[in-house]
Amino acid sequence: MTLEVQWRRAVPLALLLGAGAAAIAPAGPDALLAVKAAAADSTEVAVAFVVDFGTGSAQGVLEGCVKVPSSDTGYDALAAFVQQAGLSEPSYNSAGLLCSIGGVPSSGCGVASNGEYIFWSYWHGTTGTWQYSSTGAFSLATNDVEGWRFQNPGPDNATAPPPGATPNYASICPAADQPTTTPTTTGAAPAPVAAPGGATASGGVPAGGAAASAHTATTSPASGGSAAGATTSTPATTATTSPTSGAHASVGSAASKAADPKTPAVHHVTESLGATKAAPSSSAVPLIVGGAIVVLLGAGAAVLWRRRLRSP
Amino acid sequence: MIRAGATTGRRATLHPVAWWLWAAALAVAASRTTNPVLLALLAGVVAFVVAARRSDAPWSRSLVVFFRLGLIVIALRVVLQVVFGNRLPGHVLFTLPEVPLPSWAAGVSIGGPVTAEALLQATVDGMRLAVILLCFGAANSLASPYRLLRCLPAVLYEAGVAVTVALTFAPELVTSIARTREARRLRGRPVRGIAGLHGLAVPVLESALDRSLQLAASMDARGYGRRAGSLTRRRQATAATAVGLLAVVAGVFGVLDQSFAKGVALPVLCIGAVLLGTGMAFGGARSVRTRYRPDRWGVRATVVTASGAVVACAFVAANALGVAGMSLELYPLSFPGLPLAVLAATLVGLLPAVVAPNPLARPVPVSSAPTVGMVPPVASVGPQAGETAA
Repeated sequence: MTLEVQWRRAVPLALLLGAGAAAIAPAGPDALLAVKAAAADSTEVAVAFVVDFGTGSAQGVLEGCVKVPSSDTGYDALAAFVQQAGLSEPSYNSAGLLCSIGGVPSSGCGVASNGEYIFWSYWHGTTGTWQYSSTGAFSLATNDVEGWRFQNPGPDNATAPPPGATPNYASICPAADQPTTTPTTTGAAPAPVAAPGGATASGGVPAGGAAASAHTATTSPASGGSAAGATTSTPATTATTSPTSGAHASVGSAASKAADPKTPAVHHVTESLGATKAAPSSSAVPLIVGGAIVVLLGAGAAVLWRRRLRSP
Repeated sequence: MIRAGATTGRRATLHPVAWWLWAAALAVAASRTTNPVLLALLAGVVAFVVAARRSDAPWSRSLVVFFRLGLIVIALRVVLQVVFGNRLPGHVLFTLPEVPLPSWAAGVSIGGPVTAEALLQATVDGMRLAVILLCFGAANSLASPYRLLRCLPAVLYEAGVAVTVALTFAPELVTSIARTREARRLRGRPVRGIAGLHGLAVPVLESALDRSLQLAASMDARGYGRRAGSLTRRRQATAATAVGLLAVVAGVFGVLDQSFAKGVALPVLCIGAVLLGTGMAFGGARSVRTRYRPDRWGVRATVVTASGAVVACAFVAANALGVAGMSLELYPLSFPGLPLAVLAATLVGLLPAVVAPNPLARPVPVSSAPTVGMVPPVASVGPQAGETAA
């Protein structure tokens, strides 16, 4: 008897759960982002990034500045920066180890090679010199310079070669101290490389795309838009100086390496802009089909179980 | 007369080893995927087959017990991930106050940002373990532990007590939970919540172990653990079996655990199997024993085992080939896929719900008062330890 009562209680509960799941399913994994958006405060920080793809790589050294909510982690900021540079977003393995940035390396994650490892090393440049970090990127410091360098392969300690650009926060993020009035990149047209970030967002990346890209797409244009509204007060001098030093995703410090292929950043961005758009938005159909089969099986099992209780 | 009794007086049952092999195959399949849809499908298949083909023996409720255990496992895994787990990057849902730890404890964290990715990963990890537990519960629900004991190879009789306790502890536990709860309910004591748990745990564990040991002792008394014949040969056979069993366990662990070196695991498994087979052959040749109404391995048993093998092979192959949708994609966060071939293979696991004989089917259709006949003899035998202890 008590079992029957339990089943009677369980069926509405299962229906409720199913209905809830069905309600969330169309929105996709982004559904829960509303929670985060509500929690995030409006203050923003500018984070300087130096992403070095290693010696002999086609991408060279990327450096640039990205504005993120101050509640973001270093990984969020990295995703935003990489998105702004038009590369595919970083991937992680199930243990949370960063595997690739911009699709480099194309396969493997922290693969050992002759006693060294093929991995992305993480560095802090806030003090003006690179410090190897043995912990993850979960906090953002003020005047933060985040360094990532691909080791192919390299030692997994501080003896690994640091990113190939000087960690100078002031030169990478020139207008960081007034985060709400940094319109030079978006407001002023002459910075061609700055456009992609805004262009991707306003140019209509499908909203149902990958979660992280949707997330960054909502944060970066917001800052750009509000800044554009306040453009009037910015001095013209900033506008002229910034394209040279503070251009987003510029191939950094051309003098540092003669071997650098010097591919212009614009080229990068347009190339991967298509890639971002072409990224398949995951479909909820398999989930719904599979869920329906599971519900059918569960209902069948429940009916059979009850019938057997009654049958004798 | 005797023949008629043998065929019509017994209920149709499937060979218990077939049920165990089927359940083990589904557990192997579950260990090969981190796709929550596939895991839920496996759980649904297991639940459906048990619901369709369980007997009314007390241990047939094992599935429910293991299902609850699985839910606890998932909850525990998520809580551990939230509090101590490694901090997966991604979409931060909320942030727990973080306890600063010294740099030498860099691998450990207490509190910190909790991401959707981390929660998902913990849930799916817990689900995988829960489905494996559910498969174990299904085997306990479907196969009679007593019939299974009779299928033990002769060599293992030496280790009679240990094997009996190992094989019958879970069903005895389920039986004694039901017994003790019933006794407490009759006395007006709480059976639910913390208060119920308090009075339940000790008598249940005690009586389950007691009953297993008692069964082992009674098997001993009937000559199951006898030592006769040439001692040295027997010892060699037993040693070979023991070493072989250990090697098989290590090998199976190595094969199932994907981080284990594959070059070591397979040879160990093969050597263990050879040792085990030799030991069994030599040990078994010595002891001649008759069995009363032995379980026959029929076509149905083969089909049930094969259906499990199809599921396991499909999952292992799909995992080895790297079929898309076998694992949950966290970066970028996306909906799980559903590989069609694997889905079809999973549904093959449902075959036993049709193929296996229904243990509740009435053997003699004439019987008009089935209620008495429905109670299996085993349920009423044995000490009422749970009730006296409660």
